[in-house]
Amino acid sequence: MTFGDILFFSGIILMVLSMVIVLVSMGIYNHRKKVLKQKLYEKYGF
Amino acid sequence: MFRRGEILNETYEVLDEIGQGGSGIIYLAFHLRLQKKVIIKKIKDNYVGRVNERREADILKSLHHMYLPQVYDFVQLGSQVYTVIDYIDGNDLSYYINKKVHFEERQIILWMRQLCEALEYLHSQSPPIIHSDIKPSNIMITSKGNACLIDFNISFGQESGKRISGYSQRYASPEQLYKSKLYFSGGNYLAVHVDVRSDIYSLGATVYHLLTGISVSSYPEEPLGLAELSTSYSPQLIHIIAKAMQDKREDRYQSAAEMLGDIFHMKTRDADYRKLKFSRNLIYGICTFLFVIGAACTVVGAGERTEEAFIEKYDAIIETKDYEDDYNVLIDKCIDLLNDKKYTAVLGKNLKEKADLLYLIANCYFEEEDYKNAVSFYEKTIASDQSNPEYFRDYAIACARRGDVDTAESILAQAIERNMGEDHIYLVQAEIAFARGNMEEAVQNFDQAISLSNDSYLISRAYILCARVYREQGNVEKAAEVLTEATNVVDDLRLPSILRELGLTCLKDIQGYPDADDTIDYIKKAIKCYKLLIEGDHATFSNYMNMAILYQYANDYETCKEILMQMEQLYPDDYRVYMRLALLEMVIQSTLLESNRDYQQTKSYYEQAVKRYNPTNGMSDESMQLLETKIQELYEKGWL
Repeated sequence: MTFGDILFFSGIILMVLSMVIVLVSMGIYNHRKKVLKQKLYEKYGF
Repeated sequence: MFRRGEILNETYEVLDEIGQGGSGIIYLAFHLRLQKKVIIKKIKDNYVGRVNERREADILKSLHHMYLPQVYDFVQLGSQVYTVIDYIDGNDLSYYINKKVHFEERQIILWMRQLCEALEYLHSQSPPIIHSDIKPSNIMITSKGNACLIDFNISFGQESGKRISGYSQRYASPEQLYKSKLYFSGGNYLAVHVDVRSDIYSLGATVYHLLTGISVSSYPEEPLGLAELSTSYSPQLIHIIAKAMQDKREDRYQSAAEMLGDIFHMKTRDADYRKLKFSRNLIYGICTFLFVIGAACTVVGAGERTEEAFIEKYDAIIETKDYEDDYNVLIDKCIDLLNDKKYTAVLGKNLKEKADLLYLIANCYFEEEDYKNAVSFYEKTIASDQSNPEYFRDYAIACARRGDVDTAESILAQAIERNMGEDHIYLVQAEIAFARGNMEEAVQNFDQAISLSNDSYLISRAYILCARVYREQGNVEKAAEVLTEATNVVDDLRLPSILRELGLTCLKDIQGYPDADDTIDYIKKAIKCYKLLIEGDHATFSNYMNMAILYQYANDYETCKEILMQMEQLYPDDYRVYMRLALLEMVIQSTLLESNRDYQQTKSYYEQAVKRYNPTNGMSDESMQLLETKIQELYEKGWL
């Protein structure tokens, strides 16, 4: 495996990994946001 | 003062006296036409003159807002003016404050939003209507739980700000208090202007009272901060109230809309919300960073991979030692690599490698003695990279070989400017002298180049060129002597080219003078050269063929045929092997007695050669034409 191969494939792995993290964190964030929205509605009334 | 059941203005039936306002008694009445309850309230005396103005009365009547009571009418009875407004079923805010009711934050926020909307509506009128007396008792809480801003009898246009208007000590803004002070002390109170920000202050002071249960005036010097009063409300709400109650007008909200905006942003300023947003942004930031790094790695990696693939192909071409059999193969490989669109960017970056490939093509044309193309590719080489003086050297030599001596000299001058070595200069000068026909000078320069140089390539080249000079002069003996000397001087890498040249020199001499006395010596010498080449990993077609021809010249037909049969195995598709076999067979038969001659084998080889013979570009092989003629003769003479 050459330096170019290592660079190229590690780049692809990094991109895929970052997209997976974004997707997972988006799911977690949306859930937490929903819970918080309810909490804030109860607190502020809107 | 009205009695219960009294009809006013033939429209309003007084039902009850429900309270005392700053201006007088407040009555609950029944609107006989609308069939609904209304409030009749006396307007303060100092406004009487103004409400009589039709325009301002119309403005107040035209106000329609969910959180403002509808003003229906103004009634003048004698010298008094009364305003008729919507009856709101509920209690005012002071009622709850007095009862020390604790409200939830969401409830207070709801009222603040409603009051801000009402104020925004009033302030957006033309001219803007300043309430100027916002206080808990002027905020009604309806049975549905909504806030309603009442008491408009002092809320005329902004011009009223020039007058001393009704206000409540505990909720009035500092500028209102100051104006009042000036009024009572006989000062120029008209210079003090009251605007929408006074209402903002009063609203803040009202909510302050609601939150803390303490009115601002309880602290005559300065109201205590909400945080110090340890309320259970959010910091965002405290911040809004604190900002609304700033002493300096420019430090407060500049409009009710701005305050309303801040109220709506309370949610986004909540600590939990901000924490969630921060963690999301942090993760997104990290992921974006990773993605960018990944994308950069991919792009750079893709570039590296292309470059590595190019270098691999480049090395494969450069490191291939022996192409003497077919330079066209090497030229095609180089051109394919140079024209490959995949490597356009790589070639643009690696100019040295590009120049090397062009140089290699030029060298191939040079070796094939196609000096026109060689010159063209040397020019391209120099256009790509001028750092290597050898490019200039070979360019100059190619020009000299082509007969363009002036250009050769000009290129040599450029090469000298680039600090080309002295040995290389002598080599070029030798070539130029050779091109001019000055053989003596050429030989001298070659000798100088050989004696000065440590470069094996240059030495071998000088020897070869020197031998060619002697050969041109017809001095094959000297040429062979020079090349024999070279075999002892050059390294193993350059030895094959010397041996090849020596073999060719001997072969040409033999072909030129087949009956000379020293022919057999040259044949032996040439056979030795080709044997060394074939044994030394240079078993090429031309080396085999030349050796077979040499054995034929030596009348050793058996060995000659043996080599050709070996070639038949190695190059079964090459017509030249069968052509040579046919010619050999013809010679062998010619040595036999006529009665023993049999040309069937010759015919068979000839037919094999014809089957494989495919003259390209209309270029026919002279040897093949000779064979055809001889076969024709055999037919004519009846041998076949």
